[in-house]
Amino acid sequence: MMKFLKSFFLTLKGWFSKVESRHRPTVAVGENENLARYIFSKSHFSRQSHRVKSEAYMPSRGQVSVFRIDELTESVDLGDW
Amino acid sequence: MTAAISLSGSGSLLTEGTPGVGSDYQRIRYLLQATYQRWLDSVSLGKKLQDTYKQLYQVLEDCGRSDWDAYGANPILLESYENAKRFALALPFSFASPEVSAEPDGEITFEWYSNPRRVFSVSIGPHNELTYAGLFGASRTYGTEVFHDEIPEVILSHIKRVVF
Repeated sequence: MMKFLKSFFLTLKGWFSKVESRHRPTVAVGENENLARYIFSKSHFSRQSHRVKSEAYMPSRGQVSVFRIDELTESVDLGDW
Repeated sequence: MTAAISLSGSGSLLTEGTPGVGSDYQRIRYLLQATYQRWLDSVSLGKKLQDTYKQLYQVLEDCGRSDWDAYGANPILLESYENAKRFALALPFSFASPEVSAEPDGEITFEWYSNPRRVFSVSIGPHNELTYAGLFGASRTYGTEVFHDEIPEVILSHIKRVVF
């Protein structure tokens, strides 16, 4: 009985991890993958020249946060929640 | 005794670093102050500076608290704001107004932008230090200079490469 339960548990685990991995992005960022950097300060966008300023991409403590957006629909990506 | 006040042709002629002592110096300084105030009140000379001051105040208001960019940025300190005002005041009248923004480390940035390949920016924080970087076609530059009320010539020449 224990043997059966163990094998049943392993089968279920394998099935769930397969389903999960189908929806989880790969660890490495793809060469052509789209990334987004959301801006929360007005000063990072130039109304004068209609462009995002370079300061919007400046690292903080050596790091810049970006979002992987390839799996998102446009409405979610643009914050239409 | 001769009073000496340097007239550099820029807005920096009245800054605290101007050398001089005695009553003659005080008198000349007073006259220059009055003249300078008239320049600032005029639209042709004063509007650019007033526009820059407005942008600076807006940046202080928007970014004066921690995490203003939602990525953990440091706040803009009042010392940085005051230094940035002194920098703006020291800019020559003939230069176009820069665009002002904040950096995650809490410094204030002045940027002159012509196109994506011709851009120059200078950052100033709570200390008397100017950090600059520029892109001029295929060539690029960056560095740090000390700021004592007069903008170093190397920075002025880089700004000229973008605005003229």
